Amino acid sequence: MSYRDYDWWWSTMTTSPSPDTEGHHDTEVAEAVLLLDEPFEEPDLVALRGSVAAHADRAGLAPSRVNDLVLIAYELATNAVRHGGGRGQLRLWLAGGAVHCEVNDRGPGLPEQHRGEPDRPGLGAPGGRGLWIALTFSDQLKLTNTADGATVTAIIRLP
Amino acid sequence: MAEAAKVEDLKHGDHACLTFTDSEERLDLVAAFVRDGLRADQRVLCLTDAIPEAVLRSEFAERGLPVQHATRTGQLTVTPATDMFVTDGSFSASRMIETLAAEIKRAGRDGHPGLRITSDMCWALRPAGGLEQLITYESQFAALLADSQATAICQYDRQCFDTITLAGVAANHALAVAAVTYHDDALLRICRQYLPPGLRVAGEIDYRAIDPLTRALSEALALDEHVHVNLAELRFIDVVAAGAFIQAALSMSNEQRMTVRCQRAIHKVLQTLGAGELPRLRLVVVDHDD
Repeated sequence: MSYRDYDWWWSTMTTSPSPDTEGHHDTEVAEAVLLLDEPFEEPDLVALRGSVAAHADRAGLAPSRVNDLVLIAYELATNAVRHGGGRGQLRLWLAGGAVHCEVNDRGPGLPEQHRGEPDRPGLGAPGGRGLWIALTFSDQLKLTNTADGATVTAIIRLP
Repeated sequence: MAEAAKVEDLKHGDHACLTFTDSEERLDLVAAFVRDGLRADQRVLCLTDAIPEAVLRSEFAERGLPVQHATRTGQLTVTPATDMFVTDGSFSASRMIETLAAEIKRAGRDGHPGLRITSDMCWALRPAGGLEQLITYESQFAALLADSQATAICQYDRQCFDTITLAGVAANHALAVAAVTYHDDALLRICRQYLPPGLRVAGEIDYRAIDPLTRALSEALALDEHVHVNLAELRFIDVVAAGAFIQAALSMSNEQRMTVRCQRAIHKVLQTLGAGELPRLRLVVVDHDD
């Protein structure tokens, strides 16, 4: 079985996927309010920061959390552009008192090294900081490899 | 047409213009010009307009200039430009040139090895008689300075003056002073900062500007023992650019230090990536008041 068959979670709340959380997620989707659903390529990354900021602000996130979400969304989208086939789709929705930010790409999938709770990249490390920031700045981060590519979803709770 | 010059290279006889869009950058260059004059025991005459005198003095003091001492000894004078340029509601090129010639003589008589004059030219945007003589004045000033022991920088705010005036101004200054710039577009500006020495990054930075950022950082590290990184006007940083700052700080020699002044959001990114673990890197949060 390849690792692609698994979903895995990084979270500051839970460290492993739990059926309860999954089930809760499904009910949330039913009442989700879609805020943004946009394809992107490299030239769109800057504008994407602006759109995410505007929607997150309107959704009621505190200014410092808006900054956090903008960086998370930008880093996930940049990963898709640089390592995930050059393009992707960003969805932002409101559900269960939290803002969800999902980035899909059609690339080769997330490398196996990202499985499990990561350590902060070393000070001189050449890379790996994007997912670390996304993990640290979000309340929950879900990484999934699908048959088509990778999906990363970050969740930031509303105050 | 004015030739590009570095502020620290200006010498007696030079007549330079400083056309700026960013007020912080103007202040940096003017402070460096004043510092070099004070260090060389020259008399320094600083004519201000957009920035009130008291504010300008405290900006200089914040950058480490001995403002109080130099003011007390008469070496440094900070005064409103209008008071010198406009008399009884009108400007006269010949009268101003006479005044400046007298100032150059007085500096020599007082034992200074030269005079440095810098003026914010914004006063010329307000109604006054004789303003049509502005370009004549600049050309006569260039001639006055040519064989003198004096150096001048005339500051023109690019956002306030019309393009025809700015072209006339540029034509009448042999030199144009600007900060060494590594990147400049609508989103991002990376340039050298002179006082305190280091670099300044304003706007939004991400991985696409990594080359100019790395160049600016390496040059600052090669030049300065204490590198001052001014990110006060930086609104966004991605992890690649943040990593470049951390790697630069990591590469410093034992004698070097780096101080980064930044907004809270930028501070959070740098801290999350481990900046706090570098003993010779200091992060200072500046509260943004715009």
